[in-house]
Amino acid sequence: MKNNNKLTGIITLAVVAVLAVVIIIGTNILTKKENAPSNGAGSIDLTGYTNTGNIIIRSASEVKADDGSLEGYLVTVASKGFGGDIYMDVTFDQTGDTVKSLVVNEHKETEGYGSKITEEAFLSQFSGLTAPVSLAGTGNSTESAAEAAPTEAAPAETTETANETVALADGTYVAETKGYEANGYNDKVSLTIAGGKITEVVWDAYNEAGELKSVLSADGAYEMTKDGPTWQEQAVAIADFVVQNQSTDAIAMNDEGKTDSVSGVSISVNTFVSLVKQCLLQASPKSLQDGTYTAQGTESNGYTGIVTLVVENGAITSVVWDAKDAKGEFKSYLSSTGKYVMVEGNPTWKEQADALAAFVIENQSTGGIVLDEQGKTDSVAGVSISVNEFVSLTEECLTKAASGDTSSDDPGETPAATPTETPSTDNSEKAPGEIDGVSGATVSSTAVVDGINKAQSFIKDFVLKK
Amino acid sequence: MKLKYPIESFALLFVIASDTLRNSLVYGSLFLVLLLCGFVIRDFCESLNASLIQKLILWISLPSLTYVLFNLVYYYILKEVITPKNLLLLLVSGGYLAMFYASGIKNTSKTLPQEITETEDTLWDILKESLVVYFIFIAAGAVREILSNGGLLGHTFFNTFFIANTFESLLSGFLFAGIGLSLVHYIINKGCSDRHNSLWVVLPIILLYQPFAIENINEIIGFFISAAVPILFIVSVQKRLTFSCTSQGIKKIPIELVSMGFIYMILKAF
Repeated sequence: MKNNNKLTGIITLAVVAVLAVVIIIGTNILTKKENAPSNGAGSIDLTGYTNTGNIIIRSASEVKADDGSLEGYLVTVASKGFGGDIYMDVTFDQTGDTVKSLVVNEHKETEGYGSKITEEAFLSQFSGLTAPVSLAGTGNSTESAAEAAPTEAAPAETTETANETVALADGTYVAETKGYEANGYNDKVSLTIAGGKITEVVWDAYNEAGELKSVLSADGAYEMTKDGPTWQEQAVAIADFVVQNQSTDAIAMNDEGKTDSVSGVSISVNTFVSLVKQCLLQASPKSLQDGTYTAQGTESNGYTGIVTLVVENGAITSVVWDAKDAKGEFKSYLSSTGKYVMVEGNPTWKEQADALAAFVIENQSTGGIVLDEQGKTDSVAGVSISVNEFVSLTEECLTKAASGDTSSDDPGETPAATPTETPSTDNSEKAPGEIDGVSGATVSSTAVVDGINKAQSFIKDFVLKK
Repeated sequence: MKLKYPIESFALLFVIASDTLRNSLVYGSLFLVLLLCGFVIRDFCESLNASLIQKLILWISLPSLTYVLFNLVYYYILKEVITPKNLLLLLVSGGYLAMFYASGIKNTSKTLPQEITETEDTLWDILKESLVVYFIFIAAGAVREILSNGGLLGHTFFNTFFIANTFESLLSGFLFAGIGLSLVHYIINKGCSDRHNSLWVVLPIILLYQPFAIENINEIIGFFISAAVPILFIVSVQKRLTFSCTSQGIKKIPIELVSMGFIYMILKAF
């Protein structure tokens, strides 16, 4: 009886063993190899690795060939993007030097802007790229890239302000408004360049009778307040400020076009700033360089204005004006979805912004947009909103375009320029490891690049040193 | 009634290897083979008179077989390497399997009543309950993979709101171990008895996969603190968590394993 039991045990064991082998082989065949189990064999133990900062290594595993040899490493990394964490799988070769593939699994980036990081056109740039990677045109090696390759020569400095990089042609340039707006005056700025520098700025205004505001102000015929500085004194103060700073960048304006940046100046200066920029544009080399240019204003009424301008073949082909709130929501989106309503029945904010953009593309400048004291214009049909910010930012973009300075004022995500996805810089000028970011989605693109570099430093510093 | 399957071994497998369908199929199938190996070894050892030698053979052979079998399958069939931590836990699991069979060996120095000899576990007794655990274990792997990846065997079928990587994690392993084993107990209509201690399951996992790490103090001291905290919690659960009106259903749930999942969840926050 006992012998029978033993025999039964052995037979059962043999049968179960055969079934087990069949199940295991079947499972192995049916399992998709790319997705290595995170808690099982092949996965890399993260114990001892400390995640720091906004980029988190979530899991890692070895990638094996069919013959069992090591092909590389798969790292799942979460990087802080514009709308939240971007989860991506980065595959490296066995040395950890070359990116083999990149897959974005999950993200909360803005639809139509940052969401383009999932598109093949963007992702395919990474295949075969030598890490650390960086965004073309930014010139900023990322944190991990800098750590991994500290001896690499830094890219050419591109973070200078537009005015510093532009070679201004000597001469005197004049810009003025037209149409004698609400206050009955046309503003006029005369700017002199000598030796490539701004040496003199004169701001004045004249009425239909040809009387100069500076003279009227000095004579007491144009009086604002009894005790405060006269209009002329304020005009001189802000003009001197521009000469001293060699740009208008330091003049921060509120919604009414007023500024606290210049002592003793309480008048609206938006028209003055706009005219100075027009003068600088005239002084800049005439041809605009191809690329995507972005300028961002200061926060006002809870929104920060952004203009993205695309130059193709030396001409403005696209202008996008938008504004984002503290939550990162764009005014164009809120306006389109009815969440940002101005006057019922009137064109929406988005429609007015598009009309202004179309005007600039048609005229190839902001010159035809005449502003009143409130920063409004009658020059563009259907536009009733304050456009001084738009004019100012567009001119800033044009100044940048004159020098080919594609650097952004702000690392924030900016509206995409349409209709084409123009690369920030010419491909032929890209350094090894550089990729083109998604147009208008700097934060999203940078998050992807930083994530890849972090994944590489994880492979190099943690996995390969184990 | 006495459980006739190695609950400690299977509970450990639930925690470490029910994260995907693939893992549960591989680990479960191999463990079923090891279970039968143990049965055959025990039968062959019966001819030896000294119970101590019988136990020693089981204690040495089963962990060794576990080590060899898993490595062979992973190396030659799956072309992968088992992580050292999982290998250690498998060895512990093999040890618990040996403990299961060793507990059934009669002490030859004592004269046992006839009825005990008659109630010795047969192959079918063990296989029947173990197969129930095996299928629940595979189901747990499938459910966890669907919840964490939206698919099975690495193939993604859908990606919807409830997909969360948490279901792959260790804390989810504890929860599914508790739920899975309680389901097994419902099916076989048996419950945990006093002779089973969940600390056997929890302890090796806590030592290898600590829920949190303390960075600013000495590494060894940090290790002991992060191991001691969950142990203290689970011991306190064992000693203090009582139910005033426990139903038969509640009694069948390995409550410490479920609690351990919650403890890990809380401690992971640090």
